[in-house]
Amino acid sequence: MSNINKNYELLLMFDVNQDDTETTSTVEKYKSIIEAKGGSLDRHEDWGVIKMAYMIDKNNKARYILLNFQSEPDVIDELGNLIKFNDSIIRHLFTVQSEKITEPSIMMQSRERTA
Amino acid sequence: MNTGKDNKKTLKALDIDYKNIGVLKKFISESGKISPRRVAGTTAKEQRQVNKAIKIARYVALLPFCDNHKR
Repeated sequence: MSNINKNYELLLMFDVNQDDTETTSTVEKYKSIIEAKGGSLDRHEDWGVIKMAYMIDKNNKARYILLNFQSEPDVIDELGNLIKFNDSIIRHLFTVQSEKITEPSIMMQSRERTA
Repeated sequence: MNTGKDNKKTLKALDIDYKNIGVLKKFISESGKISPRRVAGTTAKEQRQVNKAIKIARYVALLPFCDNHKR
């Protein structure tokens, strides 16, 4: 089968009422799925707990996790299904990027400056 | 009030991204509306990119849809 790898970006918004360890284990699980399917992880960022611009399902805050990876399109379906049935994820967003991105995003750069 | 006219020269295509809230905030009014081109001073191409980026940022709750979201 021909190998059509694309660059994807996944933004996950986790419920803050959930245990931190559970959040990290969920992210690790997703990362292992990407790698098991022959994909490669380019960037993993934890933006921490951010106050949202509006309430979603009675949540004021969310923990944002950003993953950039290279994989086949099948991985997106599989991850999408897992995320859909995970109650601790408030919202998620998949985007296709034109190129591989490894340097820290603007959100992380501004965090480092303030830290 | 930021009219956005001064943003014109500093704006680069690379800067327009849904994650770059600092830049996108210059293109929304106090009530959260997207500024029109005549106010923002963007080119047609830039305005399309800004529009898209703001709409994505709203979906992931980085920017508000309006100024009276229920608290």
